[in-house]
Amino acid sequence: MTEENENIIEVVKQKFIWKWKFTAVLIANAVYIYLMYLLMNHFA
Amino acid sequence: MQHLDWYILIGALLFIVLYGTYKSRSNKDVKDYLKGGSDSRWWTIGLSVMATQASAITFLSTPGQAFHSGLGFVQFYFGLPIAMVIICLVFIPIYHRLKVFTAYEYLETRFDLKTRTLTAILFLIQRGLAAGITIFAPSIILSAVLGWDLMYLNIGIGVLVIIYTVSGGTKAVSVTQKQQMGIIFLGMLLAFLIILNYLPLDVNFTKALEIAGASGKLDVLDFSFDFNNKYTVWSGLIGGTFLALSYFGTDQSQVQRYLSGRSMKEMQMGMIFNGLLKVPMQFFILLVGVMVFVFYQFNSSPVHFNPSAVEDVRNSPFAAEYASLEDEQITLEAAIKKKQIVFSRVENQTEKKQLLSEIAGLNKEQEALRERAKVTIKKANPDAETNDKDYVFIHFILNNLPTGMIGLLLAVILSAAMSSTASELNALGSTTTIDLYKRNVRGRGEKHYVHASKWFTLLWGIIAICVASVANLFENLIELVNIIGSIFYGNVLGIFLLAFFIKYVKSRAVFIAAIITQAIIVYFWWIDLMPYLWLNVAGAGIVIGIAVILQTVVGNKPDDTLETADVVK
Repeated sequence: MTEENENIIEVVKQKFIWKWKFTAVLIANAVYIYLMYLLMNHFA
Repeated sequence: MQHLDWYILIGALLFIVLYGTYKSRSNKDVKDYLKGGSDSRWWTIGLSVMATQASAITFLSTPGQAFHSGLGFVQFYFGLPIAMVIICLVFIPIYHRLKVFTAYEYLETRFDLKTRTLTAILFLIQRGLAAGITIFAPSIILSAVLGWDLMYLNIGIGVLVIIYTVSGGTKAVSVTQKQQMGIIFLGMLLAFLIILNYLPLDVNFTKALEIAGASGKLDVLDFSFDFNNKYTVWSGLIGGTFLALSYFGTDQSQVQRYLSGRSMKEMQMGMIFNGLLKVPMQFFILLVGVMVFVFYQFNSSPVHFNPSAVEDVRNSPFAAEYASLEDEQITLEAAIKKKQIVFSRVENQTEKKQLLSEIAGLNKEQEALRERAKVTIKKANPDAETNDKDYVFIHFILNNLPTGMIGLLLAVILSAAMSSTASELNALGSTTTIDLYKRNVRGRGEKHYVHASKWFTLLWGIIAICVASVANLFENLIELVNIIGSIFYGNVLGIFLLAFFIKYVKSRAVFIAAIITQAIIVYFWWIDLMPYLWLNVAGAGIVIGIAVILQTVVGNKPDDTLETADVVK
């Protein structure tokens, strides 16, 4: 691996920036699954 | 089909082709042609990624799946949002900073040329086959129900896509996918509203859900740990994450969509957009299928939906046996309809429960009747395709929707086929140009490589039409595409994970591990060792394990360093 590219990958790995939108998308999907659970239980 | 349907269908398709060609007429260099000038905004990326994944099979097969088996298939997509977050965190920043044109280009900078070439070739094989199936799937169904010639349909879809994909490259694919997604959303929403409108006046949406629930169609979540059950919450979350990670992170047909982004932020927003909308979108398509089920509780349906299989049995010595099953179906449907009408007017909860349980029993009888019909069809023609999931929704469209809507829904199906095929051809052309041709034929001008990309895209278009022309109908078309993907994806994902996270492992170990893993995964699939979604997990795990062991046992050979030092992008 060239040194320059290795550096880029290391920089990216050190700078894993967690953004609020990642949390938002995971929470939204957890809510979807919970709503599906409610739907299933209500109409089963 | 009436004249109005033809006008809507032809108008929509021609508009897409002409608009795509017009909007992307000024491609000056390879960056313009393969990355769409790198100026896409997040909503274009998000819609383009969704349009690439949602093929015609999605709109034909998914409602049929829900009609027969309920909403459980949505669990398949539960891992997708997790994969989107990982791609935003790891894959996009690395690809963006390295300014790559293809995902495989990165592997040469990390490992060596042969690993890049191997993964590029694995992609070309699986995506080349998948592109053929993407064209073939709607063609076989539309030809069966509309009587259109299968060969002409394959060629028609293929040629329309080739026109704007070859002339306009990535930009043409992205701009047309926005229009195609518009047609798809509009068509599906109208279809849903029309189905609700077709239900008896006493049956509102809540009652429709009660009817569907009583027959088990709303059993969305399965928390069991049954390894042989294809769609559970766990297979969706674990297997689905690996499949989505492989597909969106390492499959050039998707990587190329977000590499066209204006900035890293736009690329990430596009993927988040997909992670936010994908599960509700699939849920909605399945819900349309469930509403079709409710609709057929009050209206007559065939005992089997595949018209060519029914024709086979009607022209055989088993015609009388099949006719008696059809008579039974009429009697059963009349009984179901009668109970449903009573149910829709009853308010007393005890009476409601009693009726729902009786209706569920009758629906079970109907399911058994449909199974008996399949047995009769098989007796008449052992080679007949008895899985009729793919024909349910199109049967409903053609026999029940009003004039104009039929044309619009056919435009939805063909738009979806075109949008997926366009991304696939675009990616196949790019990978052949960048990873194989440009890597070996260096020092030519930009114009030369743009021309080469166009020729390779055209060539892959022709190959896809040829694959479509010789393909045979599989058990379930949407599964076929996913099975082909799962055989190759896990291995490729494992190579990328090694590249990103395990610095210790070098090129020689990865290359040998990848070859061994591919052979093992094909063997696992051949002996049907596990449900196909788990092949992704197995492929990624095995390649990482073997590569680490090989690296530890064999260590570095001197030419490992030589090969990687000789890298020329």
